[in-house]
Amino acid sequence: MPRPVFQDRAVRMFAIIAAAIAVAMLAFVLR
Amino acid sequence: MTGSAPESARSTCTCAALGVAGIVGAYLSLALAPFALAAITAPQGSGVAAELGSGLALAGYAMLLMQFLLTGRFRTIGGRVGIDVILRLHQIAARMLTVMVLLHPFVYGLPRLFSDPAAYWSSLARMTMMPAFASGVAAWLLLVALMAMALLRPRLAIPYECWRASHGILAVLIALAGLHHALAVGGLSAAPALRWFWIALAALALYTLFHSYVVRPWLQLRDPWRIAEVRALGPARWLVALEPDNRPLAFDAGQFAWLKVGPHPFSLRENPFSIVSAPGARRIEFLIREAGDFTSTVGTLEPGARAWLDGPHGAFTLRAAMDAKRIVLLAGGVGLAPCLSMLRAAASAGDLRQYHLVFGNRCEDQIVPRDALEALAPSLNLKVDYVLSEPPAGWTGAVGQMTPQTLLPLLRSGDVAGTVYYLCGPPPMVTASLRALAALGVPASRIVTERFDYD
Repeated sequence: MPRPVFQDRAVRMFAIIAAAIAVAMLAFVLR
Repeated sequence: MTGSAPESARSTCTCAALGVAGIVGAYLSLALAPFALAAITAPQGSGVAAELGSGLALAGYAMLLMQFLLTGRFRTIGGRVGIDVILRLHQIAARMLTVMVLLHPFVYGLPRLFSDPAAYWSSLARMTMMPAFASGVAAWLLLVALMAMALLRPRLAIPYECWRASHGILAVLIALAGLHHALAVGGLSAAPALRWFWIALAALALYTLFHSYVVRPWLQLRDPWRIAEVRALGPARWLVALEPDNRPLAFDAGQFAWLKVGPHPFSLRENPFSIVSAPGARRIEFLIREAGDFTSTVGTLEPGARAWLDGPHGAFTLRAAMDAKRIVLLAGGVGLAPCLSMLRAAASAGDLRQYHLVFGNRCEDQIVPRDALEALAPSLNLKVDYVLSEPPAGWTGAVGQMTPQTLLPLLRSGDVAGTVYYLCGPPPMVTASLRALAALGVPASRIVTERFDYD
């Protein structure tokens, strides 16, 4: 059964973490 | 009748725990530190593909080591956010770090894959055969095995404690092989700063496991418990009461503890259960449904048997409703346990706020402990709605699953703005109830959920 994303605190936390890692990775790769 | 939470109903937990921002910030500090250290040491990149390969390895391995910290059941990490949320974070992070770590060896020479595919693959094959890369290849293969076992666990007929032991052993081997790989062949990790960062983080990760399996059980030896009572409440539903030999457990209503039964606390066989009794008493009670593994043997537990508790844990407490005028509790089956604990705590604290319990079950004899619920009525401003999906003849309560169709008529009567909603039950019930709350326009910040079954 699909889990509503809005309530899943862990998903919200990880979305922030994943986005920050992606940005940092981009900056690292393009340095 | 309205009011605010009485002081005595407020949290007894004074631990210094991180909130969401603290956890995300700490996680990112550790996950991104290798980038910063590598960028300081090697300010110039050596090509996009090579740097992307290194970047995936750096962040992936840092995240892998942090997996140990997330499962350490530390109150600093899970005390405020909820340890179930942290364990879910562990599961989600595992997927991302696995993709990053597994992909990284294929990325270094990626441009050559398009210009000369044969050379690309032969170079990769040559690398896997080189002794210097043996630890990296081993870590890569073990990570595949660990993830396969983790994702297939529901379908593998392996006892939980065997799975847990193999998960821990594989994780340690991957962490050590990964550390050797980073220090032996990692170009960026040759710099002392990054080298020592990996050694320190790996040591912290491995200590976490040692703490969980040795130090914490050893500390539990100071606080042995005894099974005081095992009582059948209804079909496959049991009340298990424990009494401490020494100190009682200080907990907030709604919290849970991991329970081990056996002569010593070093067993890997333990299960989390919500406490159904109110805080403050020496004796604590759990409401347990037979669902497999340990729970199917609950009825055979003998009073007097030795038991051990790791807790309290969980953020499913009235702390989230300090400013609420009304509290709605949506419980399914034994998801009633933390809700009943909260209601008992509110009653003993003289909490005059409005409480509304919606309690869903399949049939009427599963409404347990009904006598305890009804005993609360005189001392609380409490409305109880029972919902049954298979009601008996003459049932006058609500009928159906805990879906929006069933719940909306029950929940529409109150003021949404001043209400905090608590949901506890099987995942399908929680998911369906969330749809009902979404239809009512309840913001996520006013919903508190707890569930243990994920993927």
